[in-house]
Amino acid sequence: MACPSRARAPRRALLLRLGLVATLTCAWRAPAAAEESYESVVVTGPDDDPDADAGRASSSVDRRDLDRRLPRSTPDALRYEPGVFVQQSAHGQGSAYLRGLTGQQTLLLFDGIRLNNSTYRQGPNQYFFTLDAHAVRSIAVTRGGASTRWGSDALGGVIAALPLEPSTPPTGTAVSPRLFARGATADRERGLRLQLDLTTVTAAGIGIGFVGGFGARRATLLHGPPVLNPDRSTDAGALPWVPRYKEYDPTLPFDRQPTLSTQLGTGFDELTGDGRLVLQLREGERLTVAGYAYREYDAPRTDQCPPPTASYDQCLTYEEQFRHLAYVAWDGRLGAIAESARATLSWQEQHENRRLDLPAANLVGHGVDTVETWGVTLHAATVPLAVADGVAATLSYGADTYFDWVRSQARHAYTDTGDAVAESRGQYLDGATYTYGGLFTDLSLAPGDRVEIDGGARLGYAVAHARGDPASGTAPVDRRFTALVGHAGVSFAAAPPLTLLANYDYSFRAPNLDDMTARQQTGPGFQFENPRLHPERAHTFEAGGRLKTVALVADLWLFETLLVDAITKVAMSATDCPPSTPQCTGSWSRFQLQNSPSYSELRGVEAAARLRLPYRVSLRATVAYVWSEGPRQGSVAEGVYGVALGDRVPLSRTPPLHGTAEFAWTHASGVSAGGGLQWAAAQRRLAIADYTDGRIPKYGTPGFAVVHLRGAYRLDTDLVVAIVVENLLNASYRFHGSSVNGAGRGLIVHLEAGHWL
Amino acid sequence: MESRASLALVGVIASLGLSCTDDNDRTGDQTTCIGPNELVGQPACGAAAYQEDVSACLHAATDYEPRQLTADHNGWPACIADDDAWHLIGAGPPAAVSRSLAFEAMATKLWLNPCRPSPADFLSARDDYSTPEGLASRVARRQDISYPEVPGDDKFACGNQGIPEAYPDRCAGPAKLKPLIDAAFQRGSEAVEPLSQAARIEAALLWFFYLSMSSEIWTCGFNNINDCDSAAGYYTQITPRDAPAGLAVYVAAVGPETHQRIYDALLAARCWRDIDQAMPATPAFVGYYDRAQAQLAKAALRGVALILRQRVGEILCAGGEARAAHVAFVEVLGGLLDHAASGIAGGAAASLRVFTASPTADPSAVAAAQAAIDTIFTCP
Repeated sequence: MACPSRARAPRRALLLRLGLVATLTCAWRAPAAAEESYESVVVTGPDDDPDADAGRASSSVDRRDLDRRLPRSTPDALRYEPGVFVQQSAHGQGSAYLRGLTGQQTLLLFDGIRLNNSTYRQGPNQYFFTLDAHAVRSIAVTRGGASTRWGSDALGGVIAALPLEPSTPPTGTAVSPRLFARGATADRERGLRLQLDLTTVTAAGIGIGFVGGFGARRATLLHGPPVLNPDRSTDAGALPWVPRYKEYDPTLPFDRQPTLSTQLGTGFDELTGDGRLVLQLREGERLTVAGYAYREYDAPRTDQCPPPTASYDQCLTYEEQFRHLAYVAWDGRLGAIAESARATLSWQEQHENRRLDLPAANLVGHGVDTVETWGVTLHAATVPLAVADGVAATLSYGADTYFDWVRSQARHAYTDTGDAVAESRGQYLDGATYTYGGLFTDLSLAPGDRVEIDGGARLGYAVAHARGDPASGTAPVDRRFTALVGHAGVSFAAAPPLTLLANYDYSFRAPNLDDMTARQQTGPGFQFENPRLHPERAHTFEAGGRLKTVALVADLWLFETLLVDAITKVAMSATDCPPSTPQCTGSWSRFQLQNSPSYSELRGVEAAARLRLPYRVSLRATVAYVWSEGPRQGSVAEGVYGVALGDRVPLSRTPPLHGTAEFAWTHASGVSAGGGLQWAAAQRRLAIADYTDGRIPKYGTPGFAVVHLRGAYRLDTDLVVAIVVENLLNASYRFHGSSVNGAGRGLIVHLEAGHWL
Repeated sequence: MESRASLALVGVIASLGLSCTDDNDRTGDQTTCIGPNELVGQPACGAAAYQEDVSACLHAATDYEPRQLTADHNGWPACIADDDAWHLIGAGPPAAVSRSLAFEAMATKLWLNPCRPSPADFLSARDDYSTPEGLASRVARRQDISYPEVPGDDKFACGNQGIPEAYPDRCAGPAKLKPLIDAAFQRGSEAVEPLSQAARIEAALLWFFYLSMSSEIWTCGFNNINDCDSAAGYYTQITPRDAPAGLAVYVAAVGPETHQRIYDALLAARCWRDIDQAMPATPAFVGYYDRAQAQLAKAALRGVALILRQRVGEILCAGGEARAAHVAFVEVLGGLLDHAASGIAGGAAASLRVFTASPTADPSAVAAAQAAIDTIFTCP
């Protein structure tokens, strides 16, 4: 049973690929991945990747991309994808922007199971970081709304990771122990993973496969040259508020500072473990039992370690950031009405233990939040049905539901007296529940050879319940939301190899428990709950063209997203703070999420191209731009740097114009070389919330260009040595909205050794 | 005005209720009063009485005085503060207001608590003090801008490791106030001389509010223009001048005209930031900034000195632990005020220093100390 060829996928795969077709047909992966030519993995779009969405603006990263680029994390693996912009609030965090949206406005999936839960917050979050990149086979990115298939949150797009699968053995039974070792100089990263791949396949094709492993990693303080305020002639100072540097001498003027490099508030430890058991019951049917554990320890949040102007020893640290995921999945066939079907039953736990060191008050605070999520998904697709002469139709349909149970506590203690105080509520309301899901269907029509049309709809729902907390003046929440959303699209093979595509998507995001119950210190200020929110909705209009020849594959997309009732941070007055919340009134700035009174808008362009040249050389480039605007809500004082204060203002943390370029060359001997360029223009269009956000320099984030060199040697499947010289020119750079500067010049070394027994 | 301010103080006390069965534990346990607070409800103290008379004082010709605008506004252009009211620069009240409110909440649990403050009271007050982004966070970064800046070009250098120890005068918050307050909370939680610990906390925080006014006006020029709102927030929670709150209650109670002069000076700063709304402030208008700061320094120092003067007198009127509390207050505030006093009148300051370093209940020593204060801080 081999993976499907890379022939053009039918458009209906739009609905099925991520969780169904790819999983089913690629149940076993080929162990001899190196058999494919190196350059073939430099992909640009769905035509090169079975995991990507053929009819949508999409791309994907596969295992070999990861091995070549050697990303520091799963989010980091997306940096070369068109239209993806990865922000980092900490060294041990990462959040991908899709079309200017991130966090709760994008959807994260793992093997078709939602990672998003009801505590995903507005703005960047760290949760995609809690997937171990070693356990990932590929990551598909679909840009633009996708609620029809995936439900709430999929406004900006979907990031869908697929897990490593057991290998197909060359003979009946095979075992492959493997060792992965990794090191990097910029943060003294040291990592190790032991992995076992074991498969037995009978002559009838029934077999058992297992792949799993465990690993550990430690990264210390990250080195990288400082990003400077672009206008140093002003009193904003040469250095942005964050990060601070170990070498910094406050008694010296900036031009006499020692070399600033070591960023405080960085570093983390990591433990991972995973196991995936696949029972191939018969042809086309299999049962998967899988478990994934990710545990990150002692990861400081860089922009809070210390916060702007605070004492050097104040710090917010994620002492524990865990994700545990276990599920059972059945893939099979149930006749013509369910030619392919998949059912999953999942359990997931997201756990955070935050520690706030506040030496100014001799105080240590702890916040512990745990979200357990149970999920059930069912979906299936019919065989192609002849609905008219020459017109084939495929119907897919399904249902999913998830249930979150939130536990949340907070306490603080004084380090000098030992006095401890349990707070009446945590970041969330303890015992809160959130149930969400829906029913969906999608119809794909192929009226002829050149046109494909599809459309679908979802009836989604969400039910939130939380008891109030009178001691903190928190109102109870008992809300129900329903939404009917849908999409339609067409692709037209206008002049092969050119295909034109157009889509309209109507997606939604129901307010979650974070929106309606959370109180927390965020980057821009203290954010408090709004239990009266209603869903935000996104109309996405996109048009694209895809050119595919033997040598050139190129995508170009234009999009317009209109957010209706967009949920945005609104600057509030201290008098608006909830009662009994002195940390709100005391904060330098305060925010509440509110529905915008009029539409918000994001529009932009994304392009990607890959050129295959002779001598096994390939080139790839991407570029993306997003422009955003929404109604002005709240205010800041006149005269502040950079902030536009018209009736309509930029949305917060919108990525600047940015892009990438890569080249790769490989030789039949197994030697390969390449390089990558990441660049971004300056972002000076700041939102009101950006001004009080220590992560964003007061004059906006400067542009940058950073170059990486790569080399690797692969000896069949037994040995891989890969090296990346990152930031060759030691450029100062920071992805807009990030707390950390990019790593300085250094080496990343990856070693993989194993053998098939 | 004096009577209004006094009424405000009485009101705060009255709002506590007369019962000693207050909620002394933030967990909600009702505890009984462990004894009366001898500081609360004392009869008027003759030695502490003071009738402010500044009729002989002449104001600088460049002072901003919106209460009595001259034809040429003493050289100030017309500005938003000319109507004698504070107009917020920011979109809403600054966080400084909530810190001042936290101070008042602490007062009800400690120095204005009709019961002797218990360890639970100290813990509850410490929670008010330690709220993230609250008083403690600002005490730990407060600078005394009457001292030279830390070398270099980092305006917030006091937040860096080793700097408060190296520059304790400039970094007065972390170097001087924080250790005082922390120690007082710690000993209070151990039930060691609770009234004295409460008095130390009160004195240190009053000095913090004093420092905050000028410090916020300083940062208002280059960091955040809203900081001028904070200056007024720290002084009086941005209430109208005839409704003082926070530190202003203390000042208005002992020196009503001094309170008015402080309010004038704060409005001068507001006027400066109306004349010059640029961020950072325009060097060409720095003269207005200098005038406002000078006006504020003179008036605010006198305001704090009058508070000290009153407490010096209270030493004679109290006994036992209450007297010890007044002594503790005078030691703390007197020590903090010494540098400024020395800069104005060295001889009198030395005399005052002798007393505040070791306050006694000797009537002649008290009178001498009060006379020294009157000499040094003659006019607001």
